[in-house]
Amino acid sequence: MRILPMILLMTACVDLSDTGSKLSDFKIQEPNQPSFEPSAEPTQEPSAQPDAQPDQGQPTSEPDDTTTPVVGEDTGPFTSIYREMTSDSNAYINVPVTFSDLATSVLITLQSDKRMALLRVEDPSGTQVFNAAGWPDSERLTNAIYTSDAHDVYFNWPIRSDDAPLSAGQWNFVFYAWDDQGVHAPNSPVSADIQIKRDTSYNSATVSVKLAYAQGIQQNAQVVMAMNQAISHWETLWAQWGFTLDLSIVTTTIPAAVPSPHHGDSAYTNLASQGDDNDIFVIIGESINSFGSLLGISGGVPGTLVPADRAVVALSWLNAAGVDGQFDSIDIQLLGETLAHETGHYLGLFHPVESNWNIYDALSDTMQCNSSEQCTSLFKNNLMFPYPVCGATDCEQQNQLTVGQQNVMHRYTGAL
Amino acid sequence: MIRIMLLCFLFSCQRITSKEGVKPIPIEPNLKKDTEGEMSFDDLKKAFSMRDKGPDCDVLSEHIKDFDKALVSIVQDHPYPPWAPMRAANCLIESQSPLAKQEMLRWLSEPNTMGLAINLANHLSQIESEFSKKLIEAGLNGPHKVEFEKRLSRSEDGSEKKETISNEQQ
Repeated sequence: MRILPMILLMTACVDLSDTGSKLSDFKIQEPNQPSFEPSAEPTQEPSAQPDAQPDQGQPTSEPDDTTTPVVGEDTGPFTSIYREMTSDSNAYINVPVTFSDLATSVLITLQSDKRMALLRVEDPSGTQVFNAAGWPDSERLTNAIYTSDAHDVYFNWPIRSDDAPLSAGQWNFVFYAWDDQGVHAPNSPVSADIQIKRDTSYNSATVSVKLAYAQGIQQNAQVVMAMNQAISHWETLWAQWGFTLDLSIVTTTIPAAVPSPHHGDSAYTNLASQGDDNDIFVIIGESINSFGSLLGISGGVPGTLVPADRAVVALSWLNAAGVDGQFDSIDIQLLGETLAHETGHYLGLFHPVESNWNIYDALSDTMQCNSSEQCTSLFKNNLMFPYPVCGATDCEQQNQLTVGQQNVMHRYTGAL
Repeated sequence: MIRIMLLCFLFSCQRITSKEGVKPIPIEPNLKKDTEGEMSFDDLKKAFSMRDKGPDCDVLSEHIKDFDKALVSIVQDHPYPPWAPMRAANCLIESQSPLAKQEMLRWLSEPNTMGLAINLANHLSQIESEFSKKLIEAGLNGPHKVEFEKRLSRSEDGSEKKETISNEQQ
């Protein structure tokens, strides 16, 4: 009699071994769903050693459906709602949000001490309008499907003009939680910020930006003067796509060698606490602490509008000034374009093509190319091309966006 | 027997959380992976010109003949985009070859290299001790003295070395 249970146990043992084998292929499988491979968030900076990755244990069942929906009240063009939640007993984080027919975009920010990633989006009819399972690594739509070192996730919906628009009723945004060892993290506290935009105009928007100079930099008159000229160029670039910048300066004691927002830092949560819940923060440091030498980096694609460890776009004035430490007219043109480029990432834009020429954004009007020559010829004037094309005395202006790219920016919840 | 079966069960369970075979991070293209054979000088310039990311000097050096010479050429003769020569300078700081050291001393003595001098002051902790003292001495006596000294004061290591040099000079 004692042998029979042990035989059953042995059978279980074999099944679990098989599961382990599947895990080595990193196929996370929801029941009856295609495979999904969450991994760390793609970065704008290289890392010498890959960070510890979740083992991506398999979600084993459907999320609990007991979470009370967040109801987005119709109180003006923008609403922020905060809610404390927990991952359920299977490590799912289901964020149900009830929209009115006025809602046009939503930005969800989850923060925890766990790694999290988006699994899927369901509209009020229960249709999955986005499923991360099987989303190809060669196309980039949102970094929310990857986990972040900072233990947070930022997700904006819709992203493109051809994504399902928000409609009245209850939508479900389903995320998943792992600990740093890659094991499912059930019953873990998660703070959720849900921000809803009600703005049907996708032709004009105001973006509120708070600019912070790291310690000692605001006293450097030539940097401040160059920044003012570069901001003016940024305003001109964005104005042609219907964006107005509402920019103000805030103070910070963050040292001149600013932390990399890719990994996140509590200093940025503190900095962003100085603003309203629709502000984007840009910090100008002398350098950005990271592996390699960064010119600029966005804290996310998209970024968040609430205080968080990655809630910033960071730029190095020294790398923007170059060898002589002074700004000439080309440096200022490039600095303005860099501000527009990095905040473009923050509003959800990826590079139309990455510099290995086989990873693309998920937009249909940024044509695919597969060589340096071909891609440079196609995109040398596109603001989101990975690098400016320069000769000995000047650089190509990068002052163009496709309609698809403009549509992404206008769907960002902070573009009001 | 039961113990053996239980051990087998536990062993299998352990495999579920094994880190073996973790899928690589989908970071931006890694030159080591994506570049085969020798890179052209133009490709090197492009690698330094990326807006977002900095290059891995070690990886680049595997693909370029006379890497340090190429870096010096970018620093001296290719000012745009301005972060490209700054990144090439960082690779020279990492290299610390005789050519790199000669170039670093130039940054502290010529008038139009303030950006390089500031950057070097910020990276002194990466440079071997004897040569960093030589650099501090050059920086404190060069045309970028004010900016160089400001960065030394911010760095504990730089301040200590600066003090040692001052004492030696007295």
